[in-house]
Amino acid sequence: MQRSLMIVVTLGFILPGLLTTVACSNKAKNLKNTGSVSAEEADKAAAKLLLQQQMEETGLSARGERVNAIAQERERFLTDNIHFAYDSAVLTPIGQNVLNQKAEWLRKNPSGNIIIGGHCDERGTIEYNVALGERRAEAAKSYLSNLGVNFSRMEAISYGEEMPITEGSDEEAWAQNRRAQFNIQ
Amino acid sequence: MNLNRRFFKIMLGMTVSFFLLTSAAQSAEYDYLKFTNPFIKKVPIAVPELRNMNNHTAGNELALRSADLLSSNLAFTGFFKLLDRSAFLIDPQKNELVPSNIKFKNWTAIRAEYLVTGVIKVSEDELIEVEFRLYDTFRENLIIGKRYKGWKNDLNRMVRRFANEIVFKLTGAKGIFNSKIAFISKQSKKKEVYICDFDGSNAQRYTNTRSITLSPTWSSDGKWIAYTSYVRGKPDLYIRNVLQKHGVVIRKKGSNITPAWVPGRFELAASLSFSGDPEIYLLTGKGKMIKRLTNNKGIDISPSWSPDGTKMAFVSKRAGTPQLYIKNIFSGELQRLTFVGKQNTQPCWSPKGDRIAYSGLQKGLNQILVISTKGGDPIQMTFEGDNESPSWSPDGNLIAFSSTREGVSRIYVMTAIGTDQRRLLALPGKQSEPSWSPAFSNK
Repeated sequence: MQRSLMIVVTLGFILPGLLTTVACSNKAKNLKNTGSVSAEEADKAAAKLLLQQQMEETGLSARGERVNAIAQERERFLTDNIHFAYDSAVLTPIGQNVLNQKAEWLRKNPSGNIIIGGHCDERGTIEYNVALGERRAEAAKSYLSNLGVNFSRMEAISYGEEMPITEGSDEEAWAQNRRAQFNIQ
Repeated sequence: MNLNRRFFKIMLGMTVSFFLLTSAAQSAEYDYLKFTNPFIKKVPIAVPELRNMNNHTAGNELALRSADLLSSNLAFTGFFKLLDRSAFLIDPQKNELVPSNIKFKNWTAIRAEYLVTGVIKVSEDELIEVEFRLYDTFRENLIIGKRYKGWKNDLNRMVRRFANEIVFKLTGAKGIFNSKIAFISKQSKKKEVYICDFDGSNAQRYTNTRSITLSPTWSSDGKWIAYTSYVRGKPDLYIRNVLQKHGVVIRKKGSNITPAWVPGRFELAASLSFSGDPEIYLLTGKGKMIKRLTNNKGIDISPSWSPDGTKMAFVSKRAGTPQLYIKNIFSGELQRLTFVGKQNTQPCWSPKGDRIAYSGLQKGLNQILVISTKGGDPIQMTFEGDNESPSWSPDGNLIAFSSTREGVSRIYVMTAIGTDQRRLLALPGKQSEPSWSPAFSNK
């Protein structure tokens, strides 16, 4: 019951955001190939991604299936990514929120190590993207360390542009690929 | 014994060129070609079919193939225009190309400035004997001649050796025909190092990492190759002896990337991020730390050395966006090189010393640009598709690079001024990151 209420409340905050995201999506498409997406736009793209994930979870619960909350949280830990603006390794406010949730999960699951992967979209050159991905992974790692997560539990690895989660050469695909992604060792 | 004599012949043939044929007219070193407008105004040269000496059945095909191979090798440099054989006024199989019979009027008439004649003799057991002669048609003299003996399968090598001789005689620079190109080929999400000949032929897979592998780089003596590979789950730097494959791994914490060998030394610079931030360090060829070369918070990667080894170009984000800088290793003096564009990476210092090729991001796509080491405005070389990873040929006259202009990423070659852009080879999958080896001597 409490969980459904939480979901409704969250939706109440996110739905207006979704509407503005839709309005902005055309603008995002017009930015294709200009090579610059502001932190704001990165935030909005990330919010849209988060909402998609949460709405799917809502669907499952509504059907009344028995959901394993622990497995769900672990799944969220692995699939909620931190996104970045173009050519940037600066954490956005939404990115920080996602990291707060990750820190929480790590607090509740104190054993085991994790890998923080830093990734880039395809546009930079190959080696530069390895370095940029490294900065992204390190940014996430530093932030978590400051929140109290044990430094030695985390390894930051850059994959550059080598492991995109989506193929495609448009602003949406690029935004999805610019990320820090977590893995459990 | 017949067998011994043949064996002796073969051993002799194995040690390449036989003897130098000179004519009485040739005195001092030949004057080098003055290219008034290299690559644009090409030097016309005629390479007729070789003369088949002893009517062996394989002779005709080899006579034609030798001439074709030599022609395509010379054309590859971008300096020469190979004249159409149908315009020739003589028949190579008649005796008109015997050295004593040559009438240079026949060649200057069709505007050939140089002429290459040759003969081929095929014996049993796949042994061949090939002679080449390079003539200056206007001065009517022999510049250089060589005779080669060996196996039929060595024909390619013989032709390349003589092509090297031609280029050396006419330009004073070592020919590139023995050089190799290392590159990356990606298939089924795996990237491996491949090596092919200068013209894209004989491509062979070199690594078997079954992982992601990046940035192959040749040492200046061509004996070592360095590359980054994710074999152990993170980007580590591998240094391998090219032929024997033994070597070391640099697997410090973080990324170990962008190796660049120091000219003339068993040392390399590389970007390592074990301090928490990518910086450039100098290491021995065995992976031992010598010293730190950059000290700046933020990204510092992709070193490239000047031919004399005193200066290093590299990419730094210290001013906010990735740009090219040049550091004098001895004086410590630092100079920013690029000021145009938001992302300038992958510098490659020309072996001629005076310019640097690099990738500049424009409207979401990378293009190859060339800038003088003194700075100033860069010149854009490519305009179509995404073009990255420029690598100069060892004589500094050509640039290999990757291009997606056809859709899939392929290795391309162009002249130093951006003309004659053409694909080098096409393997299954995607090819990228070419690295041109040094010019291996005819020795």
